[in-house]
Amino acid sequence: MAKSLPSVIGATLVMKGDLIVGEDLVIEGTYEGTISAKDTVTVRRTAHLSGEVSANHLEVEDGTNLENAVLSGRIRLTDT
Amino acid sequence: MFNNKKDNESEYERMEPAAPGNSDVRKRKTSVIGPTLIFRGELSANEDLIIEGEIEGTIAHQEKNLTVGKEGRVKANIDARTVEVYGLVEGDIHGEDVVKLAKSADVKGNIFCSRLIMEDGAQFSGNIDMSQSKKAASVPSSAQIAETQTKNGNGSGKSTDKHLESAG
Repeated sequence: MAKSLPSVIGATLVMKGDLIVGEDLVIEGTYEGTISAKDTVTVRRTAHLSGEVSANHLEVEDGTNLENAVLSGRIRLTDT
Repeated sequence: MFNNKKDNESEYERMEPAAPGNSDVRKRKTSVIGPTLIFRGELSANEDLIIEGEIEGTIAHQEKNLTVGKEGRVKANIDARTVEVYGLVEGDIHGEDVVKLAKSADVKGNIFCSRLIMEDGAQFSGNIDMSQSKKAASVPSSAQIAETQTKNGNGSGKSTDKHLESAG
């Protein structure tokens, strides 16, 4: 079965709240709150993330602003 | 006999939103809320947004386009430049420019916009207010034209008709 395409929180998006997602998620914008992901969450360097993020896999670009963020899952730091 | 399905396709079928994650979508800087995503809270953006998932709360999306896809389920008031609905919306829709409801759309709420396009089959429950249009405000009404001409001492019917013709 083909993997579904990712959700993308773009660079100008600001989201405050609680989020649950089954497919991959890419964060380029600002997110405050909780994220629960069954698959991979990719946090780009343009992202501003605060809150709790739990995912199966977390990919965080080097230089990302993680203010008051709590990450849980397999975390991998990546180059841009 | 010569029934060409493409010719009979509605504007909406041709305009259906691109699949989430489509490279073209990213080139156009469009955010995508995928079909498995459920979000409750506040969302604001300054780029185009396609919603195929579930959102409950508020959406402030001024000056850009917002599309609620066929899988999209929104319980929120929406504020955007252009709003296209193919899925479900419960809440008021404020479209600065145009609001489009496709045949698959199901909207429960009020619509405030300059222009409204509703396809046959779209379900809608609420009020439509097109009086707050910015464009409408900038184009003088026939009553305003007549009033101006009366003030200028130019209130003949012929003159008014000419103005109306040129305005129309």
